[in-house]
Amino acid sequence: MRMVCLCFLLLAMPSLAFSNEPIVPIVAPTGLNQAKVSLGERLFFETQLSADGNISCASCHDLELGGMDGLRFPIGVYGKVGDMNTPTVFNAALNFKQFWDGRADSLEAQMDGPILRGREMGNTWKQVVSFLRDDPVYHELFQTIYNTAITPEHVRDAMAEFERSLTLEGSRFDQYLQGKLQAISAEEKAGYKLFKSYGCVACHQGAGVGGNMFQKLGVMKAYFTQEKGIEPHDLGRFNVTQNPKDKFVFKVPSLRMVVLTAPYFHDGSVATLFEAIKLMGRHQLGREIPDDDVKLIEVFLHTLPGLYQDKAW
Amino acid sequence: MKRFWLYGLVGVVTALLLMFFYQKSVGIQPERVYQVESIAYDLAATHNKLTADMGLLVQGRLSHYDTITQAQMRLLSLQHKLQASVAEAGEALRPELAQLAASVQAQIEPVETFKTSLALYRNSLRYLPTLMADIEEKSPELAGVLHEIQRRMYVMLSQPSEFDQQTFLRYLAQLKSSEFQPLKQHLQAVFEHYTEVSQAMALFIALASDQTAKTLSQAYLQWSQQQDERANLYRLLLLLLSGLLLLYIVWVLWRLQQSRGVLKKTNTFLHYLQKALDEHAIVSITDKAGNIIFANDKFSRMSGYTLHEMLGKNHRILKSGIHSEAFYNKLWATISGGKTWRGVMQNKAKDGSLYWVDSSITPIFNEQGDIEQYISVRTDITQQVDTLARFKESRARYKVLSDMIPYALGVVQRGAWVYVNKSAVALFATGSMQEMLNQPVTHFFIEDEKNLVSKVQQACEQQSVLLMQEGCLQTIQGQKFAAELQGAPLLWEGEPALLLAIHDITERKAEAEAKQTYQEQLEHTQRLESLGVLAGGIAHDFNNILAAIMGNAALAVRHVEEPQALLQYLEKINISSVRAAELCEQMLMYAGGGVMDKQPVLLHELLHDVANMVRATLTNQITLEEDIAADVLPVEADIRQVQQVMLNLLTNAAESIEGRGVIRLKLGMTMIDADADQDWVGEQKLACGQYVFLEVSDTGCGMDRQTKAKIFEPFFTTKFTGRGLGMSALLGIIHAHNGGIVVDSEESKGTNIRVLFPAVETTVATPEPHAASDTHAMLGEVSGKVLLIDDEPDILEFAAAVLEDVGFDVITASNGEEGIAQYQAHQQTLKLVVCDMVMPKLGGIAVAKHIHAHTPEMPVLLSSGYDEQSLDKISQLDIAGFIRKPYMPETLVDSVSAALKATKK
Repeated sequence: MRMVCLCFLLLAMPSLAFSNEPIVPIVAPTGLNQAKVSLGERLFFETQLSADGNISCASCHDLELGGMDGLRFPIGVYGKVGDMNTPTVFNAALNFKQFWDGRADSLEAQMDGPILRGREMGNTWKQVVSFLRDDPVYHELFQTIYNTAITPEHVRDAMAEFERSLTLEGSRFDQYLQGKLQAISAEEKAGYKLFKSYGCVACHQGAGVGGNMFQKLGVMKAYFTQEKGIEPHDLGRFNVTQNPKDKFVFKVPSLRMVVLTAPYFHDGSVATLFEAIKLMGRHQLGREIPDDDVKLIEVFLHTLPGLYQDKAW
Repeated sequence: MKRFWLYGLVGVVTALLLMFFYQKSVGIQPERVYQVESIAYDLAATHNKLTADMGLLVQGRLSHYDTITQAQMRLLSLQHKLQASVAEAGEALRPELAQLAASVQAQIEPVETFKTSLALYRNSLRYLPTLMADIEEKSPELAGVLHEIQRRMYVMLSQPSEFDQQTFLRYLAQLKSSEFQPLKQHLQAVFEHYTEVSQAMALFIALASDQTAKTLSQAYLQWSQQQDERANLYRLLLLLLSGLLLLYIVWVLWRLQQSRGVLKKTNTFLHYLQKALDEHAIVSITDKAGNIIFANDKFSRMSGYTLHEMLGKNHRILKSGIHSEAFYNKLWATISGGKTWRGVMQNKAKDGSLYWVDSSITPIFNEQGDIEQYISVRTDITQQVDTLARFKESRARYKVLSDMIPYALGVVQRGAWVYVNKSAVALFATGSMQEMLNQPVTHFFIEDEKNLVSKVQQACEQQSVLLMQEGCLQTIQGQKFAAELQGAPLLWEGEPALLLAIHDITERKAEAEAKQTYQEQLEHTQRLESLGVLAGGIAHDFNNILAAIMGNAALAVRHVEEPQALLQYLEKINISSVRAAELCEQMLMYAGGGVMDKQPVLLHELLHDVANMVRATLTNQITLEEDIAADVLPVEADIRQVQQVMLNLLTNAAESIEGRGVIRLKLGMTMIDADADQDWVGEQKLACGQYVFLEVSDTGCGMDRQTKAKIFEPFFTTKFTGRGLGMSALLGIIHAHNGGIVVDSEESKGTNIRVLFPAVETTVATPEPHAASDTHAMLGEVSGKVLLIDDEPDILEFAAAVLEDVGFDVITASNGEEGIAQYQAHQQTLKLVVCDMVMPKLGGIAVAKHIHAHTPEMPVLLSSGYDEQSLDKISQLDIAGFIRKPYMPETLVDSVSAALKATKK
């Protein structure tokens, strides 16, 4: 009897043990309109949406490279260089807001940014729409789905639908959370434990391991100093709310694809994950994390990316 | 058109009202309310969940913010959804909506703050034990402080209300050592962030978006209930409006039906009106330019153009050419000015014939008041025009006639002249027609002619013809003149009147008088001439007779001693005297009858006797045939005279036949009625009635016209041996008998003479021939005193001698007065009076009357050389007898004796 209960307990333990985890498995949005998704995909890769016809969404949010370009700053039309590090497009649907400063409330709203910004695609919706209208294929596709003349809303809608489809399930860690204890190694488990004990999970939590709250960068120790120089983009949320309290407040980024999205931080100033972890501990936790722990955490972080097209990274 | 817009507007307004009411009447569907309620509930639940999760997070029983982040997003979306759901409430729920929005919006920050602060609180809190362990490891002496801190931390955590943060912070401030720095930092972070978390949570709860949502939901419910009430009201209004609309529609339909009926009636009426119009008039309709767009059949018929030919053409095609351009211009000006033109005009038909029409052309206006068409209605008055022309001509002629006619013509109406012609004006010497018209008709008749005036008036009133009247009229000045007038009725201006033709006959009268005088003179001369002839004849015959008498008398004187010769001569004188008396008798008969002893006579036997008598004298070459009806009625006639008539006729007939011949004698009855031919000799007219006719026809030599005309003239004869008095005497007899005679004769063919005597119904005794009386037989019986009155002394003497010779006692008187004196003297003894009729001073009739006045039974005999007229007078008196002069002594004696005999009886 005791054995059975113990066994049951043991068996139940993982679930019991996982009943209050800070990280939960990703559940991709269901019921996506496949036609919109494929149109959105087409549009995602459409360079003609940019002013010079060279830059598409995929140019910066490269799906092969983990949803971003791997550069510190993206390169836009006419070779213009951006001023913020490109966040990954994967799992962007899980973010409660878009952009580092959280100025976009939705995926749809986010699209205005890259398309209209001079440094990025540098275009106007008018031109985008007129290009799309004139193109017989797009015309046909839009007509099929929306049955009216092409508007920016349609473009946003299709692309967002596509982006939603880029929510990646099936990471090893998710499998682990779902009960597959062998999905991750002991090291990775240890890394997870440290991730929790140090308090990284205070902010990097939820399905996206972040992306659902704002936090000041430099809570324990000021990150931005006059010596280093404070750029406008460093002010973060303040640029949106104009509230002094929101100075240096950024959206906590999702760590799901973090191992693929170097360089790090809003300005891409941190080249390695190791360094990013270290800085995080110092400024956010007010602790110096030992290197071994950093490594373990890093190892853990590798379990987070989900499967894209059923392929692991 | 304006009406249309108005109706359209009203219709649109009504429709809008209906739609509005319908909309309003819809109310809030319960689903909507439930939906709102459910959203509000959902929102409240979300809020509560979020609150609960916050609690869990604080307790550490929840470790990630996904739920509250999603809840927060859900709150927002629910708020929007709720807002959208109640959007129709609009202003009504603004406070609630604002509250909700505010609360939800306001909740965003506390949630973020909560997340941010809680993360930091939890991290610092988690680190504290490690930190304190490190410090204790490094500096064991600080263990107590650490314990104290731990204790206070425990209090703070377990009994937050007991915890005095200020004291703790002061305590912390005491810890100066650098080892405590991270601890202090983290502790401060704990306190700070814990407060923040509590505050954020409290704020979040305080914002009570669940309450605001619920409030909103309830407000919405209320509002929806209100709406429902309103909706009910509107539903009611809708119902009313619909009802009204329905009523209106029904009314409209009814009116429509009515107006259809009226329309139908009107159409029917108009149809018949048009029909009637078409029957009567020429109708055409033109557009506003004057081109024909419709014309009825009569138009075609009158103008000779078919409808097809006329469509689109102007009325100008009918221009006759008699009217001036100004005439047409005026016409056009009138109708284009919107007025009806009335007038008479002449048109020309297709074949060139002209006709007159009495036209009315009326413009037809459209709704805007502009002229759209013209309609013309015409009646063909060609006939009337012609008639008028002819009438005018006739009037002119009449006027000319009236003026030139020499007769005075005047038309009288109700006692006044209404028209007089020139001659009348001249006749009545009025200065002008007007002057005469001013006078009443009676003014021109003299006082005495009232009868004539009334005749005129009567004729006028009764509209009868006034035959030619003669009367005395006067001019305006009063000058009288004789006139004849006649009148004919006529209508003068519709009223009865009389046309008088007046002719001044003064001249004519004078002429007539002169003529009359002349005529009388002529007749007188003729009479004298005929008398001369007659006298000549008589004188001749009498001369012969007298010659015989005188000669014989002379011889008698000479041979007075020789009684034989004396007797011979006196006998010859007697014979001649008798002949003279016969001649006188015949004369008298010609003159008119002489003594007539009329009595009813049956002629057939008389004729038979006469016929036999004549037959004896005829040669055997002449046959006398008799066709004597036996049933003839008697005639009132003198037998002797009738005998003479028969004898005369037969004798003439016999004498006319030379050699062989036939005389037919016919006696029968005949009837004279009103329309019988009456061409008797002497131009007399026989009265209607039964007549006995005697017809003598012979096959003798006949007479030519001239001879026939003269046979009744005295002393006219074709016979060598005749005196020529026979037929004239015969005519006299016949006339005296109120008969008639007609002669038919043709030369060499023969003669037919027809004589009629009026028949009488009385029975008649067989006529006895008048026998001469035997004077001597009476001698013994008669005697007495007799009065003789005669103005001829010779006759008086002769008569007295004769009577005295017989035995009477004779008293004589030579005139009427004397006679009466003698009568009165011998009144007692007188037995009889013989009186001559014609005497100077007092005539026989007067004497007879006087005598009879005294002694009615005294027999009075009248004698006279005249006859017929006297007879009329005599018949009224009671005369014993009548003696015609000259009379033989026997006649006198017989008459006297007879008269005395009669009285004796």
